[in-house]
Amino acid sequence: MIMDPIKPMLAVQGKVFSSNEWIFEPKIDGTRCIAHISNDTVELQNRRLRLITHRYPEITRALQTAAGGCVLDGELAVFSKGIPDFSSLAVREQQVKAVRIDYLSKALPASYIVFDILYRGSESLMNLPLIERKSILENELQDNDFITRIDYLPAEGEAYFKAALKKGLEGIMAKRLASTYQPGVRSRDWVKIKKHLTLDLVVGGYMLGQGQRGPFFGSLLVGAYDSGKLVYMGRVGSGFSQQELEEISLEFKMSEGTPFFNPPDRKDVQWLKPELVVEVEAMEVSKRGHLRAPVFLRRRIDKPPEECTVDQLLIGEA
Amino acid sequence: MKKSQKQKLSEKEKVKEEPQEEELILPKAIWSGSLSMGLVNVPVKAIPITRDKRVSFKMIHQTCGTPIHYKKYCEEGEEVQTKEIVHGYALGHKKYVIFTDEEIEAAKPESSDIIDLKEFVDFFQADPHYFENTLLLVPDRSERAYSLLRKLMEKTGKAAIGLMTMRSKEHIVLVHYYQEAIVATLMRYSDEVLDPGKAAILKDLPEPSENEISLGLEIVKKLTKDLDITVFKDSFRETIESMVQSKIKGEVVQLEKKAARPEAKNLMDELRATAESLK
Repeated sequence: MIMDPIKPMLAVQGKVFSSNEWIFEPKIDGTRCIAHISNDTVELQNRRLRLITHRYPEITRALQTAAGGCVLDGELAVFSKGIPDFSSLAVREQQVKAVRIDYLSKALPASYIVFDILYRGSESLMNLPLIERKSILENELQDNDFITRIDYLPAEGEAYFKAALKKGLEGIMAKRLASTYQPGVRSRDWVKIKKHLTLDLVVGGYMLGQGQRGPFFGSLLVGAYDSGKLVYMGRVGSGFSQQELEEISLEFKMSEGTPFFNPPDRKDVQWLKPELVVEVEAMEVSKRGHLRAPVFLRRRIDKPPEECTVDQLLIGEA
Repeated sequence: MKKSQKQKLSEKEKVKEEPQEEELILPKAIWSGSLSMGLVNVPVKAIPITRDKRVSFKMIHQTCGTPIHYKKYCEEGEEVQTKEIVHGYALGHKKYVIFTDEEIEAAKPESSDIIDLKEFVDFFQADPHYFENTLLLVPDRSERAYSLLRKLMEKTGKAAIGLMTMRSKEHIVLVHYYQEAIVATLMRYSDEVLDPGKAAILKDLPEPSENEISLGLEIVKKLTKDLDITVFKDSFRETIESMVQSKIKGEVVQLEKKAARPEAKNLMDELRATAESLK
């Protein structure tokens, strides 16, 4: 089967709200996955349009019986202690050897949590309102041990958000009932609601470390791309484990000049080639585009720097 | 309608012979910089072109099943911390000339992110015995210049030779084309390859007779075929991998028994119940 990969629809970030025109789903901390299912084949693609079919044999097998010809959108996750666990999933994402893939598909099995249907056979459903796609999905897909249709709650965003945080999830997704599926678009019809703002940012330099941080760095200078220019957004100096300090330092590629369009005016900075991507949590982004109280969360090995754009800052409103 | 709504696959990705085969996902680049020839600069990233698939084992303590770690000891019997370690250039007879990290750092060639291509040479003049390993170079937002350079090498059969600094080591590199790519083959220095002609055992080899030669040529002719590297398999690896499969069979059966995992479903039921109670 030759299938055309689809660029998934993306969400903006926003604050929690309740509204009759919206539904609310749990936000699953996994990897985005669009499944192309025909009578005899299943192909899985990720957010970056790469085929990941062979990495998840259990999901591929399970989809074979769970659905007929259709294209589904959802999130692949590995559960640990009852909630999706990103670090377990990362183990699955890194495998290339068949022997290990096969073993891990049983030792750390994934779940495919499906939230949308984009095609039924060759008929595109993307222009239908979300709520109609949801009811088609209900008919087209049967849950099994590996495949679960996502649950959603109408209107009650605030209650659902509280419940999600109580369960240890990072947040919820709000989706407009009447919205179409807009492939490749970061749309205000989908809003991710998290406790804090998180951003994937490019490291363009670092401040020298002092004391225990001497061999590594004091803080990272980070930014995001705005129409091709890397815009400086602030310094991240906390949230690093000893191991992360070491690992990140080893990745530094020095540069003579600054990669930033608007570099901060400081002398004690070592500039870097803009190749390292980190996920950062912040209280908020100021009107002038600066991070407030940023904390390092993790490295994003899977994300190319050029995808770290300022459109992450789009804020959705109800 | 459908086509226009979807992102189309490139031609290369469409060629799928086996269902298992997926598009090649390139490993992480180990170097980035640019190819430089006079005034022309082509930014590239370098990726090792080979993948080591040989079987490797971890050392495991038989009694507890956990991996073995190393501790460093000096000959006085003390455990040594990493920060107390310096570098010794061995003179023999337990005599070492000591170097600090800083001294070694200062002696290393100046790091440069430019592969300085000095001249073009005929690719087949390069002796494969000097080849070390090959890096795949991919364009770094330089597709046009990259494609042109590759085409020129294909049309002329020329390769470019120059110097490259990687991890503070300078290498001679031969930059040439391979299939759709430009690659850089790292080469040994001329004094690193033995000159077998100077070995006594090879100096006075007996001259074969005409008869022997013509007989030998017959045999060579009979056995001559086109080279197909795919017929050679790492049978040790295959044996070990099938042994792994049978060794874990029991465990896999156990894992499959507890396979019914409604975790995702449970989570969503709990969320709904909690949310209802909070309304």
